Formats: sequence, structure tokens, C-alpha cells
Amino acid sequence: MNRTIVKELLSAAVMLSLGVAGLIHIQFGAWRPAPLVPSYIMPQTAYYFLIGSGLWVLAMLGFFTLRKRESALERPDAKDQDLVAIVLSSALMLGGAIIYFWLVLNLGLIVSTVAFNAVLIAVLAPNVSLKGLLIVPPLLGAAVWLLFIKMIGMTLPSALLF
Amino acid sequence: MLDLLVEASALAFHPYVLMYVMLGVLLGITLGAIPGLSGDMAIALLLPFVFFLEPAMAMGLLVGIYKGGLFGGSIAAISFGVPGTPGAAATSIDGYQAKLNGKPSKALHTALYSSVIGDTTSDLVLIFIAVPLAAVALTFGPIEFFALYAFSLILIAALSQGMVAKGLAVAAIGILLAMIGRDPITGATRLTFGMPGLSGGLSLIPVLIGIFAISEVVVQGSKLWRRKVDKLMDDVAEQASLLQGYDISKDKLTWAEFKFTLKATYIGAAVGTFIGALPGAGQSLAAFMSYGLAQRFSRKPEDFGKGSLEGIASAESGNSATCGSTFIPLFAFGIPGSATAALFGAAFILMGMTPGPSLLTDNTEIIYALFLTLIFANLVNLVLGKFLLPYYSRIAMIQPGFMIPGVFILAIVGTYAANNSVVDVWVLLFAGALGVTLRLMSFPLAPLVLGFIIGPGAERSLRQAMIMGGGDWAVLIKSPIAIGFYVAAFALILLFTFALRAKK
Repeated sequence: MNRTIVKELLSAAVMLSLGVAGLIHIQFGAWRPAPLVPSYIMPQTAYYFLIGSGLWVLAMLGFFTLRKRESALERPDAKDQDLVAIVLSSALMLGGAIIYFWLVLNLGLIVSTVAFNAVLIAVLAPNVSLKGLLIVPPLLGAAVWLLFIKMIGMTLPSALLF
Repeated sequence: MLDLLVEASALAFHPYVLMYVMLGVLLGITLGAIPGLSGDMAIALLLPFVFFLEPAMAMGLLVGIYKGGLFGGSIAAISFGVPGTPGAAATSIDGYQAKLNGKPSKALHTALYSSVIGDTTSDLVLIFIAVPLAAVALTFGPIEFFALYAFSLILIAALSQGMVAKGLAVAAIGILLAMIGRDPITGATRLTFGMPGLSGGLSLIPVLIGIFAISEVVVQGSKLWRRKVDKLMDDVAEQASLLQGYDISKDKLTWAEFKFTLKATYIGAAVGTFIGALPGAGQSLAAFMSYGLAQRFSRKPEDFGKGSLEGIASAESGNSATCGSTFIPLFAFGIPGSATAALFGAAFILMGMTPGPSLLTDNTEIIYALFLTLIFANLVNLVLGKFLLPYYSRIAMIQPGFMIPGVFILAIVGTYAANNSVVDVWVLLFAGALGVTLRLMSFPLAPLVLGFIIGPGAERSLRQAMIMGGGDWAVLIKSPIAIGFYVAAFALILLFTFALRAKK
């Protein structure tokens, strides 16, 4: 099974599960009654579209697989994504963002910004020099201070540092 | 009318507004020229700042970024063969070849002039068409409006990367995200799953920044991590070395050459303006269709693909001509036809203006000032481009390794700053993760944003129409205008399916 087929199967599974789960939620969830037109009419329509789209993807997959034309499912400009790199990058950036924001609330905006930026550059930037690592994060910290504290007046809970 | 024009001019030509336009163009070109970053991302990042600026200044800044970003994309496309934005992909075909043939200056100047001509044409069409269309839209009832929303959703879903099923599914997800929070009629909370922080619904800013900017920087971050950019930077350095010993005086665009490209530019302007007005069709399709048509009508079709200036002009003009016309559905009907229009629609909402037919009647001065700003921004683009073109190519060499982490942090802090809300930061990260997942599974993102923005309006129209029809779905096809929209959607999908097949 090639990567495109796996991707399409996964997409269809996500669409169908979301759609079916939504319809079950509508059937058994606590929805406040509304006069004449129920309040779930739009979500319900969206769930039907999700299920319909999932079935459509499956039908296309079956059709092209049976005719041995799986390549027709691939977009001409599609590039294979590096899954390992994306998972690592997501974990570092999105997971790191949770820690960063916790640090912002507890340690201080500028200190956390400089530290988090330095970590991201050190891990992500190819051929990073020590000079770049020492110059860029404090510059970003200064920009954040100027833009968000001085110009916008963003309010944050008082933190340990600054 | 004259009074209105004077008042709008006073707003549009206020020194601060002019300054913001220039700043926007410079920012847009800078970000557009760096592969991986785009004007849309910059607009999304700047949305939180819209709160703190006067509407005319905020619009000036966003318009400048949009226009600068469109042209900026062609700089990397011509200089290094790496399109800075998806719309510049067609420009890179001949642009990069022209550069390799020792004509980078001619190529960049052709791109600049055709971009400005295409863009201005499109802006003029917007100015003269949006107002009468909005007047027509004011006569629409809920049935017609629902048909219009359905028309836009179907069209944008079908035309986004040519993946109808995935486009429709992702538009449905966008609508579902918009349904989170209080039901406007019963007041009960929906789809919050017991989380009180969601009872107010999802804010526009974290969803838009998450979907567009966060997911993009995460994907770019993964490329950096794999040292793919290492190779790119080597290429860039290698290409830059090709220019050593290059004599710019022998590479000036002559009047005769410019005149020769005009036909291709006009073809691009016409095609781009038409495509831009259709929800979902986008810059990339406009550029490739313009390129194909210009080749068909060229006196030298054999030069296309080998560094033809006509090829550059048609692609760049087609790409830029979507700029003004993409706002036509937004201003006339309140429907953002593209990701950029969705971001502008969000900016209007943040400034307290509702996109749609009433936008023009309720905020006439601001909208006319915006029209003037659109034209002025083209002039700024032309002048800045003309004088700074020799330096712009270097912008594309800024290391993304330093830019991407900065953009990521600004997105987080900017989202928090907009409402001082911690919930918004969690929504941002969730939207970012959703965006990355959708990108991985090759779902188009624009229909999701369109569904999220027009979801509440579509729901309101649907419920009103159903109440009018006593709960009978057949009411939705009782209006001839509504039927016209459904037929038009079907016809346009067929038309573009054949056009895309021809392109392949």
C-alpha cells in the first residue's frame, strides 16, 4: 500500500468518524429545543457533509485502485512530507509553546521569550553560529517588549523576573 | 459624491496612513521574498494590532503587506527559482530561465510593471463593481443568502487544489468550529463539551493565526530541522555567485520590450480579475491560466519556458490581478472568496464593521478611503520596487532559521495580547495542530477558514429560511435567484474541472 492510499484511507476514516460521532452526539446529547427548526440543524448538515465526503473519498479510492490507477489520486504538486521531522517539529514548537507560555506567566515575558527563541534557533536553524545565537534572541526580546509592552500595553500577571 | 471623495481622500492620504502603507509594502515584499513566509502569514500575525490602530491606518498597513507580498513572491521566483508564494510558481518558469540567461533585471522589472498593471486593473474593477453588486445584495432574503453561502462554500471547496471531497469536509469542519459557543436563538451552549472557556465561542484571531501561521511555521520548522533548507541556502549562495561580474547596464528593460509584453500583461489582468472574483479559484490558478492563454496568443509561443518576458508578464499580471477582485464577494455579499479576503474580513470584524452589503452603506468613508489606498499602494509598490529592486534579491537570502522561531513567538504573544486571554493561546495551539494535521493529510485550508467565517451567517439564513418554509427543506429552492446560484456553482465547477485538466 503506497503512502497516498494510506493518507486517503486515514482522511476518509477521520471524516467518517467525526461525522458519525457528531450524529450520535446530536441523537443522545442535551440539545435545548427550539421552535420549528432545531438548534442542531447546521451542525447536523455539516456532519452529513463530512460523512458524504468520507464516502466519496472511499469511492474514489476504490475506483482508482480497481483500475490500477492509484497515481490519479496524487496531486501533481504534492510533495511527500517528512513525517518524523514534522512530528518532532510539532512536539518541539507546540509542546514548547505550552512550556513557554507557562514560563511567561510565571517567570516573565522577556526572559522566557529570549530563552525560548534561543532554544528554537539552536535546534532548528542549520549552521547556527554562537554570534547569531547571542544576538538574535535578545533582539527579539527587545522587539516584543517594544511592541507588546510599550506600544500595546499588554497586561500580564506579575511574574518572578521580567 | 464629491464631498464623499474629499472626506475619503482626507482619510486615505493622512500622513500616518501613507506611512503605514509604505511600511506594509516593505514588510510584504520582505516576507514574500523569503520562501516559506508569505503576505497572508504577515496579515494573520498583524491582526491583533488592528485593535490598536485607526481603521484607515490598519487597512493601509494590511493592504500594503498584501500587495508587497504578491510582488515579493516573484523576487525569489526569478532570483532563485524558488517561488516565495504559491501564486509566483508560474512566474518562476520563465523568470528563473531569464535570470539564468543573464537577464535578471529585465525579468524583475517586467514582473514589477505587469504586477502593478494587473493589480491596478483589478482594483478599478473592484471599485466600479462592488458598489452596484452590494445594492443588489441588499434585496436578498434568507433563501437567497443561504444559496449564496452554499454557492461560495461549494465553489471554494471544489476549486481549492481541485479536491472536492476534502474541500467540502474541511469546510464542514470550519462550520462546526464556528458553531462552538452559544446558540444565537436559544442561548444554550453548543459543542463546548463542558468547557466554560468555550462558551463564548472561538475567537477569530487564534483560529486564523493558528491555521495559517502556526501550522506553516511548524512545517517550515520541520524542513529546517531536516536541514533541507541547508541545501536551499547552498543553492541560493551558488546562484548569487552567478551574478558576480554581471553588468546591469546591459540588462535594462527597453521601451520596445515593455511594449511587447503589454498584450500578455492585459491577458493576465483580465484573467486574474475574473478568477480572483470567484471564491476559491486563487492566485495560482489565475497565474497558470494567464500564462497558458498568453502563450496561445503570443507571436513567439516557442519562447515560453525559455525565459520569455511575455511569460513572466502574463503570470505575474494574472497573479496580481486577483488582488482587488478577490474583495468583490467580500464587499458585496460578505463572503471572503480567498484566504486573504478572509483575513481582511476578520480585520473588518475586529474593527467593528460587518463585511457585506451594509459595509458600504454603513462605513462609506472608510471603504472609499480603502479604495484610494488600494490604488496608492500600487504606486508605492511601483516606486519602492523601481528604486530598491537591486537590493530586494538579497532579502530572499535572509536565513529562515532565524525568522521562523521569531514568527512563532510573535504569533503566540500577539494572540494573547489581542484579548489578554489565556484561552485564546490554547485555541491558537489547537488550531495550529489542526492545521498541521490537515496539511499532512493534503486537506486545503482555505475552505476551513471560509466555513468558520461564514458559518454563523449561513446558519442564520438557513434557520430563517426554514422558519419561513415551516420546516420544509424545499423552501431553499423556491427562489429563482437561489436556483441560479446552485446552477452557477455546478457550471463553474464543471468549467474549472475541464480547465484544470487542460492545464495538466
